[in-house]
Order: sequence, then structure tokens, then C-alpha cells
Amino acid sequence: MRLDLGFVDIRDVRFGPHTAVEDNLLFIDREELTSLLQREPLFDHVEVELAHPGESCRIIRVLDVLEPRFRLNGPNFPGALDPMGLVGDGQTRVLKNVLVVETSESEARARSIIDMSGPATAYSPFGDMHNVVLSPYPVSGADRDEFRLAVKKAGLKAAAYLAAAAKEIAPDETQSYELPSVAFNQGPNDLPRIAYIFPMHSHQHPTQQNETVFYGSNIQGFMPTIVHPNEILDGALMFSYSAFTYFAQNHPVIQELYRRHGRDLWFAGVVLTVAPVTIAEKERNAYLAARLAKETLGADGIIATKIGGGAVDTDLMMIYSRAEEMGMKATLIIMERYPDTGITFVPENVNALVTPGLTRDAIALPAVERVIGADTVAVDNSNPDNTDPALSPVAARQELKVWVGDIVGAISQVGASRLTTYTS
Amino acid sequence: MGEKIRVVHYLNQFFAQIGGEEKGGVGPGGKEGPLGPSRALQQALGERGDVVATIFCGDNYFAERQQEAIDELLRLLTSFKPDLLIAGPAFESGRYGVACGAICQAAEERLGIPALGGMDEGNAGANLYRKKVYIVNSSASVARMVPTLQRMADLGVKLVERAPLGKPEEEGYFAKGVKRNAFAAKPPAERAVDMLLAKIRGEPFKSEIPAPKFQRSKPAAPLQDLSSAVIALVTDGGLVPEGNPERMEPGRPTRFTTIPIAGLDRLDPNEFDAVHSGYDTAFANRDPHRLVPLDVMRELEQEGVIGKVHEFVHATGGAHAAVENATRIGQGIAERLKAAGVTGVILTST
Amino acid sequence: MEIPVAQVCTMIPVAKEVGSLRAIASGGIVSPTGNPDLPSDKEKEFRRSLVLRALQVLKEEV
Repeated sequence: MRLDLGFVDIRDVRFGPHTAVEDNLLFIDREELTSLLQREPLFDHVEVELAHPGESCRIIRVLDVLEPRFRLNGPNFPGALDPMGLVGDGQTRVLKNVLVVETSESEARARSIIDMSGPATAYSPFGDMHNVVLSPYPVSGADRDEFRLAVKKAGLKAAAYLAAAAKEIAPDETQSYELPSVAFNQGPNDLPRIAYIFPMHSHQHPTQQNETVFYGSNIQGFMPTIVHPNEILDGALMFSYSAFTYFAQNHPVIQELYRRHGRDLWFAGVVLTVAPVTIAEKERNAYLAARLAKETLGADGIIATKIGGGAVDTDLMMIYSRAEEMGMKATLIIMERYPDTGITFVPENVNALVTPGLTRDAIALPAVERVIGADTVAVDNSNPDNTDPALSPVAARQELKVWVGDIVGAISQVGASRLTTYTS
Repeated sequence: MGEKIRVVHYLNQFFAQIGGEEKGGVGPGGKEGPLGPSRALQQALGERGDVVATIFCGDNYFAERQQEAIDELLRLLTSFKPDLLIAGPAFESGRYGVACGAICQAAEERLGIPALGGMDEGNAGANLYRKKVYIVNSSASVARMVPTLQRMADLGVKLVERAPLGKPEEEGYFAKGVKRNAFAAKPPAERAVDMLLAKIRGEPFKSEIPAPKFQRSKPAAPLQDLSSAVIALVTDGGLVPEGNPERMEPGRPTRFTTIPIAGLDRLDPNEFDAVHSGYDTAFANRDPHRLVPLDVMRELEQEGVIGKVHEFVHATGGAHAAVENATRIGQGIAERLKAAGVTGVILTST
Repeated sequence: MEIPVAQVCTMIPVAKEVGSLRAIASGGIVSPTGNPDLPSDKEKEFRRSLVLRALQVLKEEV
């Protein structure tokens, strides 16, 4: 199966009379986009703003970030936006250097920040792209959980709507992602077969009943299964929390395995799974995921990442141990949170860990002229470690003393960052 | 790194050329430009930075009026707009060393300015501050002034640039045991594939995250008889009275709370909450017994299966606890339970 | 005086690694001594048998 991502390089984004891509400029009909999004009954109104690289501008209360994409043969985000169908094949247009960013009241206590200039841009790529920021506001009495889902759906709508403007445009660059079915995915014997085991969610924060994570499913009780890597890249997956959907569309491990496929490794495929909440289910999923990698994908080695909190370190350690017991080699990517220990737990046998960085590393973000998303943010400038629920919010445009992990796009648990860590 | 780093140098009354021991009571002051050993620091910095000012304080003044001294020194420091504070080296001078450590910690915590000190390993200041701020080992000999200042300058520049520091032994500083970020030459996914391929080929590789060292406790002897036991309920799932009156932290806990349950047969969901950032507390909020099983414990108490349920539930919210704090919280709870004659514990964890 | 601790938790491997050897499997991360999928009377039975197991493990040599 082959997916062609057709990139249209966008050099600027402006509001204009019609939504169109002309001469590598994206024009957005603000009224049309706003009224499209305002059809959602839970929204009282939606604000649409633009933030450009280099501006003295801060976006806060970020709920999700995604890249505008449009499948020429549909469906877009099946099960979540469009009716059920399949993705991962055919042609998809991508507006490069543009992001759809949703801000939401639900993130008022999360310090999720995009700065369009200053030290944050050394860490996150998002400040160097044109951000189309959607800020929906709820009707009074709207259920908070339902509103949050509606905001995420608005992001999908906007992403498909904007990229649709490029459907007739010839791409500036096309990247092809092709992997045949497992039965025919044979490489030369001297190239090690590598599989990616991907827990996409941890139910320590259970999904809502009508939440759409994978092909529109709430993935409760999800059993490990084989998926085609292109499905992750092409809109089958939206993270529920703890990661931004941009990093499913631009999945760093999948992209790296494709990049080296046929060179120094053979990409055996992807096992998709979740981290459940009881030890018995964690054990079961680890066994099954490792077995799928070994006996169905024929892997010699596996890489696994996590989504979620410290509880999921246990799932990863189990996947690692089961894989190695079955004769495969394993390597894990685990984000570190704590300056004292890094991660929660590493048993003796786990000797191959890669870190995408430490979230609780202090950083001062300078004052800015403009803030999108809200006026205030829950930060204690005298103590960034202060997570008191009664913390009074402060003006978001002032200098903020936060953590690197608060910068949206700086460290993704699926292994995207520009960082490593060291102990001094 | 285009611009020159602005450095301020902290000295005591002696190195600031005010006087010896007799001038130890001198209060905080500051002066533009380098003074005394700051000139050697300027040499050590070379083109990378300028010693824009020197701040100083008498060792006795600092020791006797630490808070005031720090407040005034930070005020002076701010006025010089530094990128970096360098304090000392203090060699063996204990009061000077403590002052160096304290002013560095204050500069980092209160002003966010990278800071480092220098002193001998045996200095009281090293003992107090080596885990909190970077301190270069100057040894006891003042003859080491110039090479120490060189090390301090080199380390300081790296701190400002957020460049990775070399190993403590190589760069001559006391290890803090603190993790930091550094920009990497290759992205994590590429490093993970490299590591896996090396592992498969049987080539050497190095894991990026060393195993955290935890203290292993030894389990206590078992209970002989439950029917006389006093069993305490403890939880790290963040049980709190409704409204969280003590404002227990949802994450990074620094303390625990004691919830009285004498006379209660059950935990009414209107009177208790769960506050914890690491799991969805909705289920425990609807029925707190899912977190702390008081209903069943009372039945077993009435049936005589256990002697007594201890009259307090000890609770904290265990998300992202720093090991130091978790240890202290555990010890605090254990002391109270021992003093109260508790003989067994059921600890419920999320 | 030492006090034995029965830990009802999900992350048994982590517990054992730090010396909490009387660790037993809970009803799950979000409901250590419960099971929200059960009707409330069955859930209470589940809780009772879990607590009895915890008390039993307090009497065991580890």
C-alpha cells in the first residue's frame, strides 16, 4: 500500500475574500471558516486568529495542534470527522509550514504554550510555522467533556478545510510511503527487521464514551493489533491527551523507519496497542504485542514509545522484557520528567533507553506583545514547581517562568524533540 | 553565541580589597567593572564575556544577617543585568563559602540567573550547597586561584549557553545529580534506531537514562493474629475532605494529610474527594471506597476479623513525587502510625 | 517496632523493586479497591475479597 504526501510549501498565511492557495500563499476566508466551525451547537462563537513566525506573540491553553491535510480521495479523519472509511493510501495534500492550533478553556490549568519568537523557538518547531488558531467558546451550560471533544473536532474540520484549498495545486515536493502487505514484505537477509510497538493511549485517563482516537473508536478494551504505518500518518489517529496530533501525522519513529527502510534496516511494521489500568491487562497486552511483532511481523528488534504518565513505564518495561525473552532486541524511548531520577522505574534488565528530553527543566519565556487563547495563565513565577490548584492566574503576556515541557512541540512522548539529557 | 556574556563576580570583604577579618561586618555593596581577582576572571573569560561588575559583602555581616544581605545583593545584582553570577572561590573560608552558596542559590531561584561558586570540598558551604548549585572544587590552596577561575569561567559559559556540561570529574565541579536538557546532534528517533541496530549487531551502545537508584526497604515481620490488630488505611491516591481544605497538591506532593474517621462507617462521596493529577479521579469521587475501603474495613472490625481500624486515614497524592519528598512523607506517616500503636497497614495506590 | 504493609496497587513490578513485597493486584489504576464495571453490590463483594486478601498477606512471611 502506498501513500503519497504532496507538500505545498506555504510562505505566508493571510485572511482574504476566498480560501485559496495562490503562489504559495494561503488565503483564508475568515467568515467562511468561522461560520463552518460555529455550526457546532456547543459553541457560542469561535475566534480565528493568525500567528506568524517572528511575531511577539504567545498562544496559550493549546489543546491540540495538527497539520492541514486533505486526502484527494477522502475520507478525512474517518470516524472522527468524515464517515468511516480507510486512510493510508492514495494522495494527500499537505500545507507545509501551516498549523491548526485549538485553544480551549479546558487547558486553563495546563501550561501549554506556543511562542512565535524567543527562546521557545529553539525547542519547538511550531513557532517557526504559520499558526491558524481556533478559539471556540462554549454556550452557557455546555458539558465540559463534550465541549472538549467538540473543540478537537473543530481542529479536524479546519485542517481538512484549509488543505482542501490545495487539492488542485501541484505539490512542490512529494514523499512516498510504501510498504506491502506482511506476506510480501520480505527484505534481504542481512537487513534486520524492525517493528514499532506503539501504545497510543493510557486509560489511567480513560477516554470518553464518544471520544474518537483510532478510526473514530474510543479504544476502550483495545487489544494489540497490526496496523499499516501509513494509517497513523494519514489521519486514522488522534491522541486523546499527552501528545499533539501533529506528531501522529509526522510520527518521528515511523518516519525514521521508513527513511532507513532498505538501507540499514527493513521496516517490518507497526503493532498498535494501549496501556490499560490493571496489572493483568498490562501483562496480557505486553505478551500479545510482543508476539505480534515476533510471529506476525517477523521482527528482529522492536522500538516502543509511550503515551501517558509514570504508570505506563510499567507497560513499556513489560513489552521490553517479553520481546527480549522471545529473542528480539528492544529499545525504548521514554520522556523524562524529574530532574532527580528522570523516569519512574527501570529494572535491571532494561539497558537500552533513549530520552527525548526532560520536561521539568526551567526556562524563562520573555514578555510578549500579544496573547491568543486567553489573557491569563496559571503560573507561579516565583516557583515553577508550584502546582497548587488554587494558584491565581497571572497575565500571560509577561515574562513566564515555566518548564521546557510546557512548550508545545518541544518534547513529544513519541520521540520528537531536539534534545537529550545528561546528569551533572 | 554572538553577544558577550555579562558576568557579575561576588567577593567577600578581603578579596574585594576592603580589609581583612576586622572588616567582616561590612554590608553589601557593588561596583562596576572587575575588582581584585575579578581581573583574573576577566582574563579567563577572554572574548566570551565581560565582568561588568563586582558585588561583595563582609563575611560576618552575611553570616549574621543572611536574609537582608541576600535581598540587598540581589537588588544590586539586578541593577547590573547579568547573564551569569560567579561567586568566590572561597577556598577554605567557611563563612565566605556559605555566602557564595547562598547567593548563587538565591540568584538562580529568585532571579533565574545561572550562578556557580568555587570552594574547597571540605568547606561548610560545599556541604550545604553542592546539591543545589554548581560548585567548582578550588582545593584549599589560594595558589589555585587562577586555574580555579578558569574552570569557573568555562563552566559558567556553558551554563549560560545551555551547552552540556562535561562530567564532574573532568570539569572539576561537585556533581549535583541533577538532570538537564541539552540540544542533541541527532533526533531521538534516529538515536533509538541506531541503538537498536547496534544492539542487534552485538556492538557496544550506551543507554541514555541510567537506572534511578532507589533504597530498597526490608519487609517487616508478618502479623501473627489479625483479630487483635490495629490496621491503618493509608493511600497515595489523593483522598481529601470535600473541598480540599488543606490544598493538598495534585502532583509533586510535599506533605500528607490525616483524615479523622472515628465514628464513620463509610466515606460519603459528598464529604470526600480525590485530588491527583495522574489518574482520572471521577470514579473515586463517585465512591471513595474505590480508593479507601472503609466500608468493608468497618464490617470486618464489627465481625472481629480485625481488632480495630485506626482512627486516621493518612493520605497524599503521589503523582510525580520527588524521591526525597516521597521518602520524607513515608517516614512522617510511619512515625505517626508507630506512635499510635498501629500494627498493620493497608496501603492503596493508584 | 516494624509495621507490615499490604500494598494494593497496579504497578506490582515497581512495588517489588523498591521492597514492597506484600503488593497485591488492585482493581485498577482508577479504582484500586473497586470495579466501576460491576453493579454496586457485586463491587462491594469484590472489595471485601480484595481487602481480605490484603489482610491475609499481612500474615505471610515475605
